[in-house]
Amino acid sequence: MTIPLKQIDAYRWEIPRTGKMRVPGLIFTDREMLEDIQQDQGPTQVANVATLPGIIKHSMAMPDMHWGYGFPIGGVAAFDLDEGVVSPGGVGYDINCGCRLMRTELTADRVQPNIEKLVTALFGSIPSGVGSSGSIRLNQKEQKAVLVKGARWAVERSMGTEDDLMRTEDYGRMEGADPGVVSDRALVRGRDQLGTLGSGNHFIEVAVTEEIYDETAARAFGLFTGGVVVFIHSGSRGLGYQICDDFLKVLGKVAAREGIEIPDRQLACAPLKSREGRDYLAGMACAANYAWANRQIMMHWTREVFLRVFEASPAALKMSLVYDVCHNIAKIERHEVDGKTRDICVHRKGATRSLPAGHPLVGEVYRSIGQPILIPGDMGTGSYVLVGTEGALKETFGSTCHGAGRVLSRTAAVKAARGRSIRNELLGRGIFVMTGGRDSLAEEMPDAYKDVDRVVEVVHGAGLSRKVARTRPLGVIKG
Amino acid sequence: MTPYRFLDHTADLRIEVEADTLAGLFVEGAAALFDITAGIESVRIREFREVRASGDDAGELFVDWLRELLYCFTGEGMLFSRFEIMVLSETEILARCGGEPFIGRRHEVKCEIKAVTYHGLEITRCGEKFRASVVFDI
Repeated sequence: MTIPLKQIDAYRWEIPRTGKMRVPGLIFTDREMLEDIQQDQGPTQVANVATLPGIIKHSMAMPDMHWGYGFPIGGVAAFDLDEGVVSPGGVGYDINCGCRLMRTELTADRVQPNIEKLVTALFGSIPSGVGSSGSIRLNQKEQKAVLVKGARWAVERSMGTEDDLMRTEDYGRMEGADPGVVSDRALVRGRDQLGTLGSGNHFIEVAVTEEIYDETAARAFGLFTGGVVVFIHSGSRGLGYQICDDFLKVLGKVAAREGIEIPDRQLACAPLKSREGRDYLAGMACAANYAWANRQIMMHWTREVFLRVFEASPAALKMSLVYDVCHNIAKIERHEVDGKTRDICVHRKGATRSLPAGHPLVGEVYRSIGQPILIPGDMGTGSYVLVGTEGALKETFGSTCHGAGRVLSRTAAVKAARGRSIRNELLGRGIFVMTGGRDSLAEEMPDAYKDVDRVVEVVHGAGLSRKVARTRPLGVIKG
Repeated sequence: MTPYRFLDHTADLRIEVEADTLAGLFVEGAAALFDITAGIESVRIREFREVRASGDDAGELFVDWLRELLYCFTGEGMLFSRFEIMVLSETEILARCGGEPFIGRRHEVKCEIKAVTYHGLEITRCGEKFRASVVFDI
């Protein structure tokens, strides 16, 4: 099915309201990427989301959008608390999949000659790959404490500092988490995966800040040209997948009971004010907290590896968290809608929060600058640090893109990589990569992704966030 | 050779299976799941377990069956390579599944399936054949 798209300006295309759509669709992209977008079912999925009850203004998609299941990846939609719904398909299986960035005082000339040693040490210290399990084994009581406390649980066990929490979205803890709604299956899957990277597109990347676009913001974020930084990209692991899976089944029945017509079973949803809807949010918050604890623990181990490899003191290394964002989540947030301030439920599936300076949800550390936004690119190109804007608050309920976005399917990527050594190609560009999975290098190779520079140009040009810095990878661990 | 094939999907894994009977379709779907996960050839039959699933219609039942089997691996570390369907109705399935626990030195996880999705789920009958397509989130 071809979805009609009407160009509004250089960065915006509208899907006019037709059929059962309650609001129009709005896709942020440019003309060149639009061709890729139209190749798959992403636009249909934007239109499908627009049919859900209580949706406000637009069903939106960011420039890194692609075909997902239920919502498109890169999808953003907000719902009225009385009339609207919450959908696990608008969050995804990997609840609070997200990204954190650390800065150091080290410069690239010191790190580059040691990159093999550093990446090998990281690979040895942080479990990665399929079904990876870690050195932390949780009994049920401790696990429930993780689900309620989030990153604070790790900090209380000396795996981080109060300052880390101040630099994490929602301070690393989502309110309303209720372990009572989490199934035994989810608890079983989560008990030995805390502090593990996982597989697929999850990674730890050592990079160097190559270009600065906004000196003031970069200084506030602790970034300088030539400085070495570390990205950690992971989520809530098997626990989150299971919570999503459990609730999809439950909410599918609620949608039928409530007479909510859904164009795709994966859009199973429940009214926000129903018990099942509230239970999903309480379970989702548990997974979000698990993910924040997970990234906090991996960051702690990363810090230890750096101290060891560079034989430096913490004071000399000044390795601190810049920020941690989640990009798969649904949140009750206060926004202005049609001139009135009200609470709504914003779904971000493969989209990042983008809040401007002065916003009450931006932690005090960055209140005068705006919220840092982390956009990991593919492992051969580069990543971006952006800052939140008023434009996002006005137009996208404070949301922007989350990454480069896939353009090749995984099977197509493996096919395209046949006969090539992706590892050596990356080495040729000065990037040392270690990986656990057999096919993950091929599946995740740079050609499989959209051009992150273009994606970021769109959100910058459309005013959904502003460029602060661009980094170039030096070494990567792939799950 | 397992009779399933990959269909295109940008982010995830979309497969299509085919069989002569509805029961056969459930067997082929299960075989595909374990073949993608660990290579079904590597799974020896050392024990049997009963796996049960339910759904409101054949489509939901198909997904639920695969979800149950996936949990046998992700939650309990079991791999299966033989599936004997004992009961199959519009809304229920009970099967005896043969396999063995995952052992790191003998098995290799080829691909981590995070979940079996309902997206684009289709069960159709084409002449003498039953066909299903399903998307695995990976």
